[in-house]
Amino acid sequence: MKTWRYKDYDWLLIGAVALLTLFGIIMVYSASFPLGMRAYDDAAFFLKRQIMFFIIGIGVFAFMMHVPYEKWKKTTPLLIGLSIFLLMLVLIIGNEVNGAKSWIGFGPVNIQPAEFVKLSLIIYLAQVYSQKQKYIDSFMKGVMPPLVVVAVLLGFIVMQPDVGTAAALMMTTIVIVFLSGAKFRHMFMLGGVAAALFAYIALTEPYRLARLVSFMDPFASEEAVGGGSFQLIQGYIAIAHGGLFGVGLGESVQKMNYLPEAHTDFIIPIIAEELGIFGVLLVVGLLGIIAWRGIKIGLSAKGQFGTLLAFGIVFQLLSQAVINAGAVAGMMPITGLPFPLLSYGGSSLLITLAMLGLLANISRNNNRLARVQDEGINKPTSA
Amino acid sequence: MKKLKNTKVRALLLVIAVAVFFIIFTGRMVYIQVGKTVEGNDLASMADSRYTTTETVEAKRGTIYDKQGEPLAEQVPSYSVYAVLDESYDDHVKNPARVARELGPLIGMEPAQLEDMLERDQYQVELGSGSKYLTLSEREEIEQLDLAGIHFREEPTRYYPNQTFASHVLGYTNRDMSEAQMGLEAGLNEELTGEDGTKTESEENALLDEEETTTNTAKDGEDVYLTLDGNIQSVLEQSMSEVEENYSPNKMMGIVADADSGEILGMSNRPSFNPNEYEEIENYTNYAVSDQYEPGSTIKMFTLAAAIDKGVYEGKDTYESGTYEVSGETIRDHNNGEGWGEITYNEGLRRSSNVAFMRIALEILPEGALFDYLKKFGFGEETGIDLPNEADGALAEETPLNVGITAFGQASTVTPIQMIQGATAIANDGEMMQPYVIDRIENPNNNETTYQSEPKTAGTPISEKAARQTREKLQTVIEGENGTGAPYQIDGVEVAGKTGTAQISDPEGGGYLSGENQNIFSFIGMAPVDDPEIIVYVVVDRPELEPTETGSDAVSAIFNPVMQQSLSYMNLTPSDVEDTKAYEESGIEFEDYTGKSVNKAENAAENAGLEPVVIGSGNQVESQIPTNTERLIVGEKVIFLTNGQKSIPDVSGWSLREIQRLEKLLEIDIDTSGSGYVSSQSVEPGTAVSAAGNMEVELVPPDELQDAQTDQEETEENNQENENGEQQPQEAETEGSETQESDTEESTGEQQPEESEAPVENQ
Repeated sequence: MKTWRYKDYDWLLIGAVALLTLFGIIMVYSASFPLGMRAYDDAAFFLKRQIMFFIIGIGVFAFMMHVPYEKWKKTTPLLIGLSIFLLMLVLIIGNEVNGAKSWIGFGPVNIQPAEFVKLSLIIYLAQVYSQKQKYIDSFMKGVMPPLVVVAVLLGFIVMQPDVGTAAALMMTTIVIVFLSGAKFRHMFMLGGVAAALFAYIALTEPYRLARLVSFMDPFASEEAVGGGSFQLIQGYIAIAHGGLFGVGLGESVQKMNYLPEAHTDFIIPIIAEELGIFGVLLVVGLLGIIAWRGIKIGLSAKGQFGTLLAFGIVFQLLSQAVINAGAVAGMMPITGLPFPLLSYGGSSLLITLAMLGLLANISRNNNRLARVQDEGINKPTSA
Repeated sequence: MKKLKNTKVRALLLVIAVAVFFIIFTGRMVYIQVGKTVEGNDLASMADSRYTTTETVEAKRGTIYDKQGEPLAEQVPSYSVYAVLDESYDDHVKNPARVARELGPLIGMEPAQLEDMLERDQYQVELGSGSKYLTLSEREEIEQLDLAGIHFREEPTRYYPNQTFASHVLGYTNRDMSEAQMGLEAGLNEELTGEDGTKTESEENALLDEEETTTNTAKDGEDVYLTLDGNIQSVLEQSMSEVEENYSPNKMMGIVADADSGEILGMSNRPSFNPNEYEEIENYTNYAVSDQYEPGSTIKMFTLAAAIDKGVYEGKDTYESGTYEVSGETIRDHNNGEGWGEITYNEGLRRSSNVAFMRIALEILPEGALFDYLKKFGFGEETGIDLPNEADGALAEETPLNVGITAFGQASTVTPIQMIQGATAIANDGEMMQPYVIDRIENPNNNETTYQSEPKTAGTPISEKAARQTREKLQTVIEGENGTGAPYQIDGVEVAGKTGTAQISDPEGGGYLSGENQNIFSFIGMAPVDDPEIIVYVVVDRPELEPTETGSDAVSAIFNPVMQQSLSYMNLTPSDVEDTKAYEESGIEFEDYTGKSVNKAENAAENAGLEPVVIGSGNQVESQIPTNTERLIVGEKVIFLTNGQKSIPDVSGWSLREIQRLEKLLEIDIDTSGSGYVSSQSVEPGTAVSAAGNMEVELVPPDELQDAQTDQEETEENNQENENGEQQPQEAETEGSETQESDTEESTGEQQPEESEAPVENQ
């Protein structure tokens, strides 16, 4: 039982994650060097930081891959408690960037509590819904109680305000509840309430409403430099400028002062500009491999906790990707959410790698069990 | 272990949803990549416009220059003040009270009001109208206050450096040159306006310093050079301003023309205006070309010229002055019809008798002849001068009454410029010259001359002889006994001309304005009589006269200085009149020889085409003037001061400029009088400088320097003509009657031959 083998590792998953992350580092460098030179007089400023986080991220990934995931079950009270503490702390001592208090500075490092919440929330939901399977048909006894915790966490995140992250977490929550086997009737209720809440949040704040309006008709407010539609149109121009085959790596023009946040939430248009459809397909393909592996891992996990955890991780990743890609393609409003693994950002990268490390651990455990079972059948003499 | 229920199906549903999203996403990316449009918006062209910035390079409006090349209208930078209030900007207003207190007075704002403005919650504020269109020196004055938060913006502005100066000729443009409003500024707007250029910067690789810049150079507007002579215009403006102040006339106009070419050398009106302060214009009309009025007696010069040219003028014939009746109307001489008894036509001319000219028009000249002549002199028709809004005047309907009174200046109307044009025929030996003010137009971009005017004949209404005789007669108006033109006598200048005192048609209709001072006083004169160079026409409308004053006091206060100075400017050699700048640019550079040997310095000066003057007996140059910073013209004097005994040089023939240099070099006072060149000096040449004391020199115009010689020539000429046998008897006769008529009248040499010519025409 205790023997770990090389072939237990999910090399396909690890490979896809590594490729997507490395590709992200290259593209972050390409997209950020004009800003780095302009703002920090160092073209590699963002590259260096991203590489640093990547190296730490490898350690985090390896650590998560080797800690048996079942152990996290017991830590849920601690994780949720810590999440709430950090979210409260960020509201008090957080640094305000672009009008949102999302960061806490620890010396040279800024951390984003909301990113930490992503991981905690998935573990918590997987744990709590795997235990509530008996009551899953009951809304009040089964579905509802954990949602109170979710509501508290999301409430704090909305207060920062970081509606994009809250929306992504909301989607993840709904997915986990859905996969837990909740009744469709309950799902519609939950979806309806969530939609109403986000509609309320969007419509009551003028700048969010403006973003929503500009999303509907971006070209109407084209001159609103710095507004959401300006960024969207600059993204469109990048995509159009690149054409089907791209203008070549490093050759983007739009990253020169034109497209804001080219290295974070608008990295997809830069990839499209420089590498054309190949860059887009590479990203979608690698994401597809990760998703395929994740679904497979979830389905073959031995316990309900493992299954929900794996699905939670996969769909957390996918919902973030959808919100980001939908925004740059003009299919959804812009929320400023980074693309997982690709976009610049330490907290996001570390937490995403942690989640994927956890996923890899589930996979490894599945493989090991399958192997041990095989060995048990074929070589009954040992043990 | 229990499996989650339906998980596989549910997971599959979600995966399909996500897959569908990414298929749509990829499709949309391809759609944008290939189609390059989103919802019909062309992204490619939006990209192009983002990557390139196009700036306008503003073209400079052309400059208007006078004859000497001095700018009369030019584009200069001006400055506007604004204050930055926002604290996020480093240089913002920190102490509104101090700024208000110190800046307020300089921009014409109440400090309290200014302080209020400076405390507004705005990023920046524009200050009042007094903070706009500041000159460089005004800007510097504000900058010296060293006020935080006070900034300047530079704007090109039209500026008229001479202020009130040929204002109606120049006209004006709005300060920002957005609109040309009147005068040549408006008339030549197309030429003066340049073509803005563009500067397109492609920022494709701005960060890699691979900026591509394409510049479409601005084409500056063309420069206009006028025939106006700054010096003459200056005298005209000055004397007209004095008259305006002393006599407060309703309006005035003055024109100075070059008799030989028709070039307008000066033109001014009152009321005038300062084009830099165009808000205060009260009169937009350039009367000199746009006003039409009954000219009064000045037109008699043309009636006279017509009669002389026709060969019918007999100056010694007499007529009964006082009144004349035509078509039932009684026309009176200007002394209420009293007249002067039976007088000669010559006296009638001198006294400006209306009756004399009615007789000439109706009895002496054949029917229709006067109007034919007036038409040939250009009346009733635009001269075609290159100024906007010219009027044409109108000859009255040709009835006997109208012909009669037109002959002395009523019924028909004229414009001042027509008077000038007509007078050129008399001045220019019969050849009438079309007046013009534009000398040439130059394109500064390629230094090409795009327009060059030439003197243009506008006809030959009278013969050369008739012209000369007319001038002779007109000279007696000024110099003869009882001449109405006596106030226009100028020392040393022989003037021919005609006075005018016109009644003013009642604008209400029916007759003429009556009462004190309700007259237009005018004078048109030319000089020198022999070969006139300058024609000056001055009109003063309804001056306020004291009982002791006459209208000609006001008119002569303009005519006399203008004529005198114009002649002296015309007589100077071109190099003296030329703007110093013009020849300093093309002049000779001459080294400083201070400390070097006198011989060397002298030789160098001679080789450079300069005239060395050495003062002192030493052999080493102690100082020199002009120094090497000035550029010199050929033949100019370079004065070397040596280390030895210094004595006063012979300065006869030196110019004022050279005298001033000498004064500076020797550190002595030299008083000058007159203008032109030195004719005499109070300190003998050779006197030691130390013993010179106050030196006086007298300057005279160059023609007078050669007075003796000129007189001789004239005498010879007269003798030659007198030797013409055929003319002798008639000449004697004419001379005789003339002498009888006015004993005291000088029977000058010039008068004799010309008097003699009238009868010749008769033959």
